[in-house]
Amino acid sequence: MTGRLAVVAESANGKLVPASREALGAALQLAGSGATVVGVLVGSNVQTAAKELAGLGAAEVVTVDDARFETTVTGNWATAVVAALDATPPELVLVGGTVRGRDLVARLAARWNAGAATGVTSLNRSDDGTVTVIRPIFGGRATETRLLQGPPVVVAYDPTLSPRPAPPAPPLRFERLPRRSSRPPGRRADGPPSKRRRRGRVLR
Amino acid sequence: MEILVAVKPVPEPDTRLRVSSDGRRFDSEGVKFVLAGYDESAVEQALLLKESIAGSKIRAVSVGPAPRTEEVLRAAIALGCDAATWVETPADLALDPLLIARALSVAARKTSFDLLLLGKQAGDDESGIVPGALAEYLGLPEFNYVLDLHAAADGKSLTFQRATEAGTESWDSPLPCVIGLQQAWNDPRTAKLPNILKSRKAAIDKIAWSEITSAGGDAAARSQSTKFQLPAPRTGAKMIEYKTPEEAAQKLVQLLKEEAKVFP
Repeated sequence: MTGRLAVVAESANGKLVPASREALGAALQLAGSGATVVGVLVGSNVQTAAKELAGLGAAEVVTVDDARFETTVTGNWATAVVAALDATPPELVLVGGTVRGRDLVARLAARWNAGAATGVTSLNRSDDGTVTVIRPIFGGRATETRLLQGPPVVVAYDPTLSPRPAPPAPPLRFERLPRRSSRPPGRRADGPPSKRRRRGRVLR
Repeated sequence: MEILVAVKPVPEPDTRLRVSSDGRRFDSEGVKFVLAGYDESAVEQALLLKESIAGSKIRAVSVGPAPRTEEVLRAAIALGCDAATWVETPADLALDPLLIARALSVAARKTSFDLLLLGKQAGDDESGIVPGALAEYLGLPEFNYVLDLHAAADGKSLTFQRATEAGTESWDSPLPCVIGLQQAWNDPRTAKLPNILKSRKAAIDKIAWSEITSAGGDAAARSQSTKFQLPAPRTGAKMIEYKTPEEAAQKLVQLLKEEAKVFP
């Protein structure tokens, strides 16, 4: 693909967080040899992580380094990211699927009126610029393919999410057995209470 | 304290999912919709705050088509909400999180509130975009994945914790703000029968979809589902036919040795 992709990365203790590495990997794969991947790092003391981001393949790295980001709300992070990317807006913004990353996707999508998705396990960009993503939904009981309107589009990438296997088929049926008539009414049944309660039989 | 609680109707958790005829979404025909689990926690939190701060009022708000949206609003009233606002959408309108957030922001601006509570995400699409986007449209601070929320005695600020990958953060925030709650840290109550009966007759304020489209901004979804897929059924299971437990054990050991090669 051509154009610009941005990866908004996060750092902790001077290192990129694993989710940001995964987002960068996905961006580099999607960019191939034609597009430029821009890394954006917002936070406090992010210079070491910025070097790491460049070393992993980001063609450009923009940092917004301020101690106040240690204790600020996501809205201020979104303001910093928008300011960092304002000069050359990207077509696609990838964020790691962290708590802050998902929040940031919501904020950026609302600011740019951008197609957005979180919990994305795979994404594709066609030649005409259309971005589709695949993400598990319903607690992993199903997956959806979602078309995002852009540019830009904003995605929280989280390859660690995976669909759950399908439930066994056919479903279990329960049949209530008739009460044993030989036992006189009111008499205590034999065995512990847990055994006495077992009156059903599982059928397949 | 005036509290706004945004709720969403979602299919019952044990609903057997089916693919719709166009293959784009799940088939909601005959499916029962209930209050989303995380939103239930939000309603419970609002009720706890109402009980701790005298004079507090709770208004539930929801966006969606009839009848499911009205039903969950009545469920919220039965739990103890004082009023409800329903942004009624056309039945065939495809909503996305951004559009829901925009509609909720229009509804929120029509009323006064100190705190806007909602679940951190819905149990169906699980995007978690609505809290952040809603706060952005309203120009408010927002905190998602919140636990253990308490209001100051004067009702003008909140203290709470927030679950992150690195651990738990402690926060104070002035009001107003938007809070997305984690499920299960509080134990949502169940509605009492007299309250359920009363909620059936409660008045619900309606906002027509045309008001959302005329409120400015883009009133079209910025993303849409193009394919809904269920995982393939599990294969490879082998049922052992047997008459006695000894025979079953023998056949099982044989299969483990010869096919699965678990034993030498």
